[in-house]
Amino acid sequence: MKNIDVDKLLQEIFNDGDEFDVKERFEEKLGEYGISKTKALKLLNIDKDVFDEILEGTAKQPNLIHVVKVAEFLDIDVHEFVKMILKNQNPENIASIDRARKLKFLMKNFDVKALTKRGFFDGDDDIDEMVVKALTYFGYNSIKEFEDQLVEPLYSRSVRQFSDKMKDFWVRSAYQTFKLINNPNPYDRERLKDTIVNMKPYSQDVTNGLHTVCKALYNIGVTVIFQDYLETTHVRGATFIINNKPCIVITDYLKKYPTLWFTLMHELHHVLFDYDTVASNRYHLSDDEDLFLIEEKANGFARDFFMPIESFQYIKSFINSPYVVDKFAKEQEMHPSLVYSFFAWYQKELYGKNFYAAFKEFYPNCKIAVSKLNPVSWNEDNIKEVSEKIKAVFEIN
Amino acid sequence: MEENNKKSKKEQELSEADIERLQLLQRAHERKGKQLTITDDTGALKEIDELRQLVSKQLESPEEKYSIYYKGIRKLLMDHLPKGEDYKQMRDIIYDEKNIFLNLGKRKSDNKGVRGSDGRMTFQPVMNEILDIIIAWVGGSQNPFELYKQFYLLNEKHEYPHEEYDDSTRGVANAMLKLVD
Repeated sequence: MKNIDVDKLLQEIFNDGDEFDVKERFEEKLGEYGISKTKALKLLNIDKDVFDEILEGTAKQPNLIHVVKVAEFLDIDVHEFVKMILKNQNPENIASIDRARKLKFLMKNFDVKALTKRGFFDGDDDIDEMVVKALTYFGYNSIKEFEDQLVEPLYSRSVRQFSDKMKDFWVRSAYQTFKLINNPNPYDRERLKDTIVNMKPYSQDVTNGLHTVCKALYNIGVTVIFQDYLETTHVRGATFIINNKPCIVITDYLKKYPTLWFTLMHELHHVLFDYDTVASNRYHLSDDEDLFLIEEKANGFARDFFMPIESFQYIKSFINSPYVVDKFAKEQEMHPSLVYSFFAWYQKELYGKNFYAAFKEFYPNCKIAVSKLNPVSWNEDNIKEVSEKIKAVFEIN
Repeated sequence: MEENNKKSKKEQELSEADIERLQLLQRAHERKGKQLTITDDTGALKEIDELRQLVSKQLESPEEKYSIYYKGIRKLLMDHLPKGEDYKQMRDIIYDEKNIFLNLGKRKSDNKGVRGSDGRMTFQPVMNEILDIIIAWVGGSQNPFELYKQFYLLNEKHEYPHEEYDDSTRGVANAMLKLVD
C-alpha cells in the first residue's frame, strides 16, 4: 500500500469530481462473481451492520482490516476507498485529521518544547494557534507554501547537513530575513578588505562600534544581522550567500562581548576566502562541527587580527594589572575585553590552563553592544517586521 | 607532468590566499592614529583626525592620573617587588628613588625628612615616563636590583640628586647598584 498523503487526501475530500457509487460497485461485483451479499460478507468475515456503516461512510471508527478487505473485494485502490469513506465522515472527524496534519507539520519542522521555552510559542497555544504563529512568522499562508518555498532554495543542491530542528528553524529564519532585507548595495571584495583593516578600533566603542561597522559593511553589500542565541543550536555565527551577496548572522552564544567581534571577523574571513564553498552550499554554519575543514583558518585569522601570539607573550606578565592591560589595549586600538578573552584562549591552548571564568568584570554587557542593531529575539510576530526594522538601522538617510 | 603542474598551481593559489591574509593582517595592525566614521552621503568609512579631538582634551586629567599612579605604578611595584619584612629596607630604597623622580628631584633628606612635595600630584608625562620603565621591568627580568639601577640612572639623567642615607642603608643601596652589573 502506498503512503497516504494526508494533505492531498484532505484536499481531495473537499474536491468534488471523479466520484463513484460504492454501493453500485458492490452490486456489480456480486453480479460478476455470482454470489449473494450474505455469502460475500460471510467469506469476508464482516458483520452486516459493520459493512453497511463502512459503505455508507457512517462508521465512526472503521476497522482498518475491514477497509482493506472491502477495497480488495471491490477491486479498487485502498487510497481511493479511504477517500470515499472519509468523504462521508462528520466534520468533527475531518477536523481531527486536519489537526493530525498540523501536528505533523509542527513536529517535523519545529522543536515545540524549546521554542515555547524561548517564548516563540505561547504555552497556552493550541495546535491551530501554533501553526498560525509559525506560518505568520515566516510570512506564508499555508503549510504547503511553507514546505514548498522554503525547502527548495536552501536544501536543493546540498544534502541537509543536520537533523536538528532548532538549527533548521534557525537557518530558515535567517535565510528568510536576508531575503526580505534584500540589501541593494553591490558586493565588492576589495572594498570589504579596506573596511576590515579599519575595523579593530571600533571594538573600543561598546555602544556604537558594532553598529558603525555593520552599517559600513551593509553599504558594501555585506549584510550582518544579530540574533539571540537559540538554545541547543551551538551556532556562534553563519555566512549565507544570497543573490551573490554575503550575509552574516552573529549570535550572542556565550554572551560575551569579545566573542561577537571574534565571530564577526571569523565570518568575514569565510566571505573573503571561502566564498565559493559557501556559495555552493548556500550557507555555512560556524558551530561545533567543521564540515569543510575551513574553521581553523578562519579562527586563526580572527585571532591574529586582534591578538597574535606575540601580543599574548607580552601581555601575560601583566594580565593581573588592569591598568597595563588597558594601556596595551589602547595601543592596539581594541577593547580590553578582547585582550582578556584571547589571553584565556592562549592559556588553554598552550598550557592547558583554564581561565574561562576569569576577568569577567572586564567584559562589557553584550546587550548594550547589539541593542542598536535590533537583534532578533524570537518573540517577534513575523520576519517581515524584523527585516524592516533591521534594514532601517542600516540605511543611510 | 600535467599532474605536477596542477599541484604547483594549487600550491600557488594557496600561497596567494595566505599572502593576501598576511597583507590584511599587516594593514590591520598599523596604528591608525585616526578614528573612522561613516560619511552620510556615500556610506564609506571616513577618517577623522584624532589629533583634532585631542586639542580639546585637558592635558592633566585627575581620573587618568589616579589610574596611572594607583593602578599602574603603585600596583605593579607592590605586586612584583619581594614582599615581607625582610625586604622592607630594599623596597624603601627603591621607593625613595622613584619618589625623587616623581617630585622632580626633591628629596626628604634636604629638609629633615619632610619633602614638601607629593609624587602623586606630579605631572602626568612624568608619571608616564616612570610607568614605562616599570612595565618594561615587569615584562623583563623582574630583578629588584635592576629596577633600582634603572630609577637611579633615570635620576642621573635628569640631574636629580639621590636620597642620603645612614651608613647601613647606604651600604645596601650601593650593594644593589653593584650587584646588578
